[in-house]
Amino acid sequence: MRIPLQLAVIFAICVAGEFLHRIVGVPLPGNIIGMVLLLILLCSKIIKPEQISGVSSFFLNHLALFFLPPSIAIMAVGDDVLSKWPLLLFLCIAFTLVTIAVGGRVTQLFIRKQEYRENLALRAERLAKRTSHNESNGGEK
Amino acid sequence: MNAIINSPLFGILLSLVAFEIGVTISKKFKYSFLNPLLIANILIVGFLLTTGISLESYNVGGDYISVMLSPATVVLAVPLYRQISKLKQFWKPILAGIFAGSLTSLACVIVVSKLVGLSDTLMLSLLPKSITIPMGSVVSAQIGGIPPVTIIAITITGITGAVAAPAVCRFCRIKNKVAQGIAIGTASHALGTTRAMEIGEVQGAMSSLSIGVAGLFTAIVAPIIISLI
Repeated sequence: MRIPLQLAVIFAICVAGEFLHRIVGVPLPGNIIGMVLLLILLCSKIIKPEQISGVSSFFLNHLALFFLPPSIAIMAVGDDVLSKWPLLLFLCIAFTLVTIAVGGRVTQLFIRKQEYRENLALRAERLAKRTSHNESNGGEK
Repeated sequence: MNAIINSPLFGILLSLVAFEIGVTISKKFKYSFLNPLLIANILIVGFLLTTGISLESYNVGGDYISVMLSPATVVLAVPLYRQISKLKQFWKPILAGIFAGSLTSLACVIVVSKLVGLSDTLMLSLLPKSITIPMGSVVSAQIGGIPPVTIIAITITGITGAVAAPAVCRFCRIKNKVAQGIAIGTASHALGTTRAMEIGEVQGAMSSLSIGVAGLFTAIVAPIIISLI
């Protein structure tokens, strides 16, 4: 697709997301609904990733640029927020460490459980094969 | 001069120049805490404060760039789609890990904010701090937080993840590659993912899968939790 058409597709999805949020009343922000819509279009093969790659790689490669202007509004927050920054900084760091620990441990626990179960199933299968093999051998003798 | 400062071109040019300086500095020194967004933010705020140019004048142009947050979020579906096939083998552990990590982040913010007596607005601003900025800033606005505070909190969170993730994994004996990737992506979004990609291919893929899933999960669950407390 040519770039203007690619842009048109992406902006149409944005507008559809805003429509679903503001008019239909879906309780998710419009841009997040838009992401889900595009994911559905990709999974159902209606849009192929290559068809929108010009626009998608532009946005993805320079993602941080688009949240620079919203972040400048930090200038306008009151002194009550600014005085809390050391605390906020500490909390952000501490919470991140805890989140990594919990997310990782839980995933690992579930993977080990699944692998243990799959191993058991595999062993049971092998055992069943061997016994049936022995039985058939024994029968011949 | 005012005519130029109040034209959209001024804010756009200032953003582009500051961003490029930020990217150049962070590429040159390669320390995770020299984040291009943080550097550019400090440069622009410093410039506006020293010249006395108002935030409103900057935003005349800045708003043009901010509008692009919406399409930038939508295209996050592309990397998510590319990673989604990797869900197949371990989809239960992966979803369990992402949900547990996201809930931990939300619970930490709510419980500790109440304990140390943070205002509700600040608590709500911190709540989406583990998800990617285009999602987190709109979730923050939706639940009544202050989006710029959220953006800074998300950036600090991302830098922390990128710097500290390997040490945390070692300390907590998280040895499985899938688990490492999920932990990093769930806690510290795209910024942590850049580090996960350096650690290994599996970790990078799992981390980038977690960005979209954790963001979506948090966007759905955060408003529900808020309405319950």
